[in-house]
Amino acid sequence: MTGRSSRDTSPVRPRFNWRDFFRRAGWLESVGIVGLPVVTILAALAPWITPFDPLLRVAAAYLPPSTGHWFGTDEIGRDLFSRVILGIQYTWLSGLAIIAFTLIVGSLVGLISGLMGGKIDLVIGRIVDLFIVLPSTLIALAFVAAVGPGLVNTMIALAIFWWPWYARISRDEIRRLKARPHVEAARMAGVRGPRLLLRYLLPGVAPALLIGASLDVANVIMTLSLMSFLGLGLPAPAPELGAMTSRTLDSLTVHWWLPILPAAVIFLLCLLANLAGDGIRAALRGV
Amino acid sequence: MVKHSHRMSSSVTEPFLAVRDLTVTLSREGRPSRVIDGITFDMLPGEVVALVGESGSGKTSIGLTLQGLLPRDYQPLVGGSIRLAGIELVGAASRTWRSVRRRLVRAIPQDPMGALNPTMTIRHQMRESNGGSIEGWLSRTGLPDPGRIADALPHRLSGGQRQRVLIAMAMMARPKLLIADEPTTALDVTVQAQILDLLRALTREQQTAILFVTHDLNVAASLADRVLILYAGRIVEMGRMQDVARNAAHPYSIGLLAARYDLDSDRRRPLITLPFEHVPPVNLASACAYAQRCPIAQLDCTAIRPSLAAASAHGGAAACLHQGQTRFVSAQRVDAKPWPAPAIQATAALRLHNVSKTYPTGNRSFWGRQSQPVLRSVSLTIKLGECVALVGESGAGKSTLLRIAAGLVMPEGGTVTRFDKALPQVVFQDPVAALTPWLTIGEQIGERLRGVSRDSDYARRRVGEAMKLVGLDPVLMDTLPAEMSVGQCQRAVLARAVIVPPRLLLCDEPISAMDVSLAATTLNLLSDLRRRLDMAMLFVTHDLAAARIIADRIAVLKDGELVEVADPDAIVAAPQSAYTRSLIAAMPGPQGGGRR
Amino acid sequence: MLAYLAKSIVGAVVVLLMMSLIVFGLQSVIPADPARAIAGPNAPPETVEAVRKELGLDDPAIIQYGRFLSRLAHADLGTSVRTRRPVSDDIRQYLPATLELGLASIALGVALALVMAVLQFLIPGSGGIRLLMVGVGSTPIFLSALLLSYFFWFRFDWLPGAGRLGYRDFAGPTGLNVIDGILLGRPEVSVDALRHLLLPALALALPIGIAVGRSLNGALHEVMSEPYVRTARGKGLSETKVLLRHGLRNAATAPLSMLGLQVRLLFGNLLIVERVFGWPGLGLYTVQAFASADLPAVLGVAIVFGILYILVNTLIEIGQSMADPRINL
Repeated sequence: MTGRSSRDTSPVRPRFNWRDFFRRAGWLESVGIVGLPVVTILAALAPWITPFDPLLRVAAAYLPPSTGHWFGTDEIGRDLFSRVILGIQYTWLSGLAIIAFTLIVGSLVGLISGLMGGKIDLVIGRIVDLFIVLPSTLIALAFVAAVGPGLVNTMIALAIFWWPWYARISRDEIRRLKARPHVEAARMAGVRGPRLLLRYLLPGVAPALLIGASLDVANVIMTLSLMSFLGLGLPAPAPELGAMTSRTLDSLTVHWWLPILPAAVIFLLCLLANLAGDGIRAALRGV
Repeated sequence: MVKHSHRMSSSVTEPFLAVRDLTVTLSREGRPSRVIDGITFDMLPGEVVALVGESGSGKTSIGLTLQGLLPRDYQPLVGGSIRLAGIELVGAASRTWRSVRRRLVRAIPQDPMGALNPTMTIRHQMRESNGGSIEGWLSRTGLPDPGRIADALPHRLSGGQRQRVLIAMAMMARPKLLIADEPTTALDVTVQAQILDLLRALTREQQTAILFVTHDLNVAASLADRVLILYAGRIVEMGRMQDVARNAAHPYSIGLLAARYDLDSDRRRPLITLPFEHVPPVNLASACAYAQRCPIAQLDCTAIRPSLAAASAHGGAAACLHQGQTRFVSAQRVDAKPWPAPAIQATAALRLHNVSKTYPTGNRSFWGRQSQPVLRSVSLTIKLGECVALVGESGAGKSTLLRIAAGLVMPEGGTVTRFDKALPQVVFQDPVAALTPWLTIGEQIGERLRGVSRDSDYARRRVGEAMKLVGLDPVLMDTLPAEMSVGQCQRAVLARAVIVPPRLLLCDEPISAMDVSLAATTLNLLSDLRRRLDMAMLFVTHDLAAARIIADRIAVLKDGELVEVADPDAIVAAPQSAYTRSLIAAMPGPQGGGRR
Repeated sequence: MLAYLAKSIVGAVVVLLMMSLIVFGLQSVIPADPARAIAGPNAPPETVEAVRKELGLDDPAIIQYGRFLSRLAHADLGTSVRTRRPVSDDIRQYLPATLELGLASIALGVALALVMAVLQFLIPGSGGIRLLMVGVGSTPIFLSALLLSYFFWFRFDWLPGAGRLGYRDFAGPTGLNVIDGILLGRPEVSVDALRHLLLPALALALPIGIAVGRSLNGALHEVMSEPYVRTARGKGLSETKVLLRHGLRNAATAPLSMLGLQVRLLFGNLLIVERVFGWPGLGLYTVQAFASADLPAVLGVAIVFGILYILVNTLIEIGQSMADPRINL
């Protein structure tokens, strides 16, 4: 509302605090932000909190959901709820691992590109662009199809096609920051090298990366489950959510809980991650 | 034009705009704040009323309220009454508002660069206003080749051309009221003068009343019949422009008038300023909003809210409980002691020799980028202890020259020699942007201390001393820039520059975005620091008056070439180049109508 | 414009070369030995060796790659292990079905996005609307496909949920049944094709609509607080006119980029949706190829989708420059 000229009497914005953070994020999104660490802890503790052994027959086959077996039992009488819990562990933790790995690699490449500038920046930029234009999902699928299914292969395939995004974000942010008066002022004040990077540049790049990464959690989980749906995830007996849906697809009309409930859990995970991503973006915008 | 009587009491013409007890509350991030607080005024047909106030005073909000265009995101709450040509606008239906905007009220925005739709030709945008031939209106605003302009997209036009287009767009609807919100602030001085002339002529011709929103009393004086002076969302004084300019009745108006500077200001002593430090909020509902800054405030000023009453000094009105004392405010003028003479040595602090630089233009052809010269063989020397002001309009290459002097940009030709091995220091245009948001100002000021632990008591003491030197309370050492006011940020930037005094200080338009009183304060501070710390200074500005006040020599830059370098008073009294003459002629003066 | 064409063709060639390199690399990491596969499991080592020589498998990698490229240039994508036909023939057979589905879902997605963004702008979003948008956007494609087919086909039987067409032996010049029905003067075929198309296209359009709609909505919010929108409102235009004339076009760039991204994901989603709805297109073909480890088929489809993707990207860039004349191609 104030014009070009600057106001003089009141501070521009009060200091960071969590109440403001959550208010800016929105109540719905705050649920997601709080949910992220909760799910992560649950996923890490999965083997100890399953009510039944997820790999063994514990009851009759095809029991519908009941108080004893919340999600019912599958075609050979395994407890679906326990299997889903273990499935959450695979999906969620490998999703986070992929994000963490690509975030580190990608932002390092982007930082180098943005800091060096010149020819190096140009060459890295071209390579990043090239990776971004490739139809990645398909090549990742082809990659896994060629080298054989498995968790590690899937993670490699996804990581190969995910890092360029972070490289682009961090590179663009670094270039933007480098031209900002406060970084120029720091350089004129004689700040150089690692100190400039750690104190003046990285804290400015971090919000954009954090926003990107939090919005990507759901994307990675979705892609992972898509691959396992196509049979390119873990081998058969392992409880993987996408594969559980895929394998029982044909019994949808008879035993609806078998394909629907694992898919619904993926939905919940993605919802939580998306809400958190939206909230973090809303709260950090303009920082 | 029929000359109306401007005295409200004896007016025979019915006011066509009557604003009564207008209040506006905007909510930002869930915190409501009252930006307009009980404002009452009238406007007569064809009258030019200046609405003067510093930023944050609510002057822009008044303009938007009169158009019904307060931003929805801020959940505006409007109370009181606005009657325009007999129509009550507060609480009016959106259909009423739309018809009012179509026929009665138009606005010219502050920033012509952003105010035109970038993806639509001028013709299509003008067609949305009813009335008259598009080319006809464009040529009436003095645009040559109106046909070509009409078919152009906005980004092909200059700032001055866009502002003319916007004026044509507003005037072709033949509105009764034109709201001009700082219409010239974003433009170069020479263009500014032309735009003001144009406004004057067009409105006189069409009997359009103008509400002229500005922070610049000089500009207001050159155009307006009447003036409303706004402080913290309240009118503190209103009256005929000449009356208020000569005999202001409210201490704030007096301060504001005293703080402005022009080509005739006394440059041998500090400028008069308003006290401007951050003030704690008082209970404004029952207090004078200005009480905390007022030099003649008494106990009752913080207990009673003064209402507008007939002014003792002129025929208008003022909101002050102690109008009788206000003449003592003006008595402070002569107090300030003259500056000591700067110690200028023969050695050069900075020597630029035949410096040239080109920049690539936007057009990329198949064979590579075309480039355009920004600096053509510029030679300039600044001696130790000397202050040289570099004056020029936008695009003249001033900032590029400063960045070359700072070593931030390499010249393509010529040499740069600095006396000092250590880096010169730079004061950038926007003090808030020049501070890193996530580091405390103490950390940032201390960054220039070499070879000391930055957390040691010694470092903290040095930082505290530097802060005191620039008039900043050392208590603020651990605050973040966002928690401080712009004026405090400016001081923090200066403290960082002078904690280890450099031999050369480079200032890039440090006052161009500031209100008059803050600008005057900053000029005083810089004048003081450079003498006390014996710094040479390059002061880049588009404001000839500021250049004259601060500098020992003025260099005028036009299209990448120095056209004149001379003593400030000599340059104003007897400009050698035609360009300098046009710059001086374009300065808005308090006498009204510029210096022609 | 000419320079832009030249640039985009060069860019496309580079991307295709890159893809061919990846595909070639993948072919050579397959654990199975093609020479042994051709010679038969019981053939003596000398025979396998001879076959290997005949196929040129012991040449240096670079020569093999050159040979691979020249085969690619002649549209020779190898032979499918599963169907035992040239992959290019298979692709030619299944491509029209996928094109029809893909184009329909993009069109439906863009329509959804426009409606959603404009509605959400005119009626500011409450928590409920936000939750609905994020919810639909978080639904894995196989879940939405499953739910659509379960309710609209199996449960209520409103729409067909399997296959492309109820008419047997219908074939038209373009292979796109909806258009062919009109071309051949059989509107009932077009209607039936549309009914078959609706559910799978909707499943694919939902994520596109949500993502593009959210991006458009965000861009609109930004654009509608620009000073030039204030200028437009200041002329007394109605809010709808301001939105349509001044808002949408200026807000187009970011959502168009988002559309490009979504098309990239569409290629993956096509596999799932075609599998769930038994749609006889390239997606289903690829899923079956996965199941029988038919690598030449998978890689062939990857290259075709790559070409399609480059085309879409180019179209989107042209669209962006049309929306914003300041973007020079």
